[in-house]
Amino acid sequence: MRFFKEYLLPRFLQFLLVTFLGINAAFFIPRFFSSDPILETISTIRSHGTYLDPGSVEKIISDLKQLYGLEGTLGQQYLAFWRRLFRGDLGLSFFQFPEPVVRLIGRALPWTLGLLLPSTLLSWALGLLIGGVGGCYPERRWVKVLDVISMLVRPLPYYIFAFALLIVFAYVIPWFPLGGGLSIGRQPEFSLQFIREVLHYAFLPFASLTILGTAVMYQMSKLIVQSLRTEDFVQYAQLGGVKGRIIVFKYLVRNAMLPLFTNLVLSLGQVFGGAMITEIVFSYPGLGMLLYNAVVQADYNLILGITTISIVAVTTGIFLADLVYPLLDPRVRYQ
Amino acid sequence: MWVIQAKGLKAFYILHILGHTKIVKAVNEVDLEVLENEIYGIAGESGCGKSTLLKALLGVTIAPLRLISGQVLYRKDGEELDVYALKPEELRKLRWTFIAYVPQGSMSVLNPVRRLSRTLEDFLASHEGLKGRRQLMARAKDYFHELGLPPKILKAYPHQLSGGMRQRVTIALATLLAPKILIADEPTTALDVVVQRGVLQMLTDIHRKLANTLVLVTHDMGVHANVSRRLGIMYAGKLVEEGEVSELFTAPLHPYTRFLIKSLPKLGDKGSREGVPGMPPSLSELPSGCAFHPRCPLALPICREKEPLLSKEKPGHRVRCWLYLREGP
Ligand SMILES: Nc1ncnc2c1ncn2[C@@H]1O[C@H](COP(=O)(O)OP(=O)(O)O)[C@@H](O)[C@H]1O
Ligand SMILES: [Mg+2]
Repeated sequence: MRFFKEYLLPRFLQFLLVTFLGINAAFFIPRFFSSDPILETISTIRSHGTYLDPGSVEKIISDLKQLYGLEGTLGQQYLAFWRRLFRGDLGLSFFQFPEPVVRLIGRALPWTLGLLLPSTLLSWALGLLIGGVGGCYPERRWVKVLDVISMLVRPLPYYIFAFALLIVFAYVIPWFPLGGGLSIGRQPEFSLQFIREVLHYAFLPFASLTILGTAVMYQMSKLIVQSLRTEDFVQYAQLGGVKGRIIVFKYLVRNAMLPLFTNLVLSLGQVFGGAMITEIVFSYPGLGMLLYNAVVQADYNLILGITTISIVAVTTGIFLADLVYPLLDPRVRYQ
Repeated sequence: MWVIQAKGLKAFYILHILGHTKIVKAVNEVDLEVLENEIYGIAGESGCGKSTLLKALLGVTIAPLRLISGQVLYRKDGEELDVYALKPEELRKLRWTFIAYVPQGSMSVLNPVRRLSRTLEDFLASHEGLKGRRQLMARAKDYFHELGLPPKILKAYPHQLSGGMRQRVTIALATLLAPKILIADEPTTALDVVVQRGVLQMLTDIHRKLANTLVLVTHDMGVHANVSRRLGIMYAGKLVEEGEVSELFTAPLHPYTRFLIKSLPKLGDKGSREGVPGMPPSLSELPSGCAFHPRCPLALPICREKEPLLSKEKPGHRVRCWLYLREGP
């Protein structure tokens, strides 16, 4: 009960508040921009050389207003926005009219999740473990080799690294496709061959994210473990003759997980924003690609939809992490 | 018969600060023998090198601490072992089964994310193998019961225990495998008086039950008066006096020891107590001659120039002071 009142409740309220404020920001900020999406759309149509008579301009404006939820006063728009949101309705995409934004996101999401969830989890776990063991034995040869590799890979801008992988393994040595999530015209089906194709297409983007992510985690984990090694409880266990394997995993890596857990949660939250650069470089049909296209085409409903989903995902992730954290660190249980 | 012997033991901290090297002479030519089944006390002001001496005796010289010279011997089953010549694995096996240690500030020596039972298991399993794990835990439970510790605290995490309880648990953990030697560093410091008494009682009980050797380090002379049998006084990394507690407290020889004893509160004594005048010297810039001479009211001209040796003044009583040793080394 005390756990509920003193730990859970404040965090839940904080979660609600931050989510609410975030969505509000997503709603209001575009409305404070001087650019008017409707006039821009009309001028886009005109710039294609299409003649619009005043009557049809009026008609288009009212249609667009309805489409963007821009009818009525700001207050009415605001209420309508929340009402639709609770119904799970994020409006229609303008450039892929009349697809609902929710459906577009729903189509892109599996690609993004399938790519980012495994690579985020794997690079976190792998980096933690290798970095942990490396922090215990910094004098070993393989640790020094890994140090050099991670030092070389990490400062590379991600897009250069991703491009290099693409050029080498898809163009020079054509082991992998140049881009996309599936070969063109392929329909999803439940077969071994289909799964193999998905994995084949996902391999390069997955590898680029995982290698870089692991290098980052490796360095952080190694640093944390090295400083943990001077902690009293580690030195005492060592002095007491506790076996090396127990010390490495149950004392060092286990405790290094605590500060690194926050990293994991934040990157899991960011998964829902998509990995825009990855998806552009590898033409991967995920959320990041969708967002990129939405921005380029000024598809305001779609931008607002993806932003809202990301906000909710990040705050939910942080809230869930707060719930899980006491299982990792018994000291926070009753604070 | 001795169980630990230190010969000319020197262990310094070698620090590299901003390009130049600083040497902290924390243990400086210490010779001592700790006997079988005794309580050997080590006293001295804070910072004089007591904890470092214990580390050197345990064979734990992790950078920046370095063994400069000297030897530490253990006598185990009639055999003399040279600690610094042992292989790491041999040394590891001696720990907890032959020699165990309760470190200073034992508040932070338990893994914060592990239940006590698991920590106990880590130590037990590392020395006795994982096979009889149930049996091991049953033994741990019995042992806790014997020591008057509620066995249910085995399920607790370290932060859930009070300071006194944590100290007792650390002592229990150190003596689980019935070591021949137990080394305890300031086990009562930072505890309140009532708890202190309980912890000391526990240490002496274990000492009696295991019939082992207890090396007890504390700056608190009152504790030594009550618990220790023999006592070594350390000053600036060196042993300056050593003898039976009964003799040291009634007829101290070294002026420093006299100050330490005078600073003890006595029953019915209302006046303010005298401390040792002046400040302890820096162990990286020791005074010439006898390190105590700047604070010594009885200093002779020679004290400033030459270091006295630790000489046997009477049987079983050694002192390092020019007042007793007329001839130079
Ligand atoms: N890890 C360390 N690095 C550098 N100097 C140290 C370290 N530990 C202790 N010292 C120094 O060594 C001297 C002796 O310390 P210590 O053995 O802890 O004394 P005591 O236990 O008697 O209080 C002190 O001057 C202290 O500053
Ligand atoms: Mg100390």
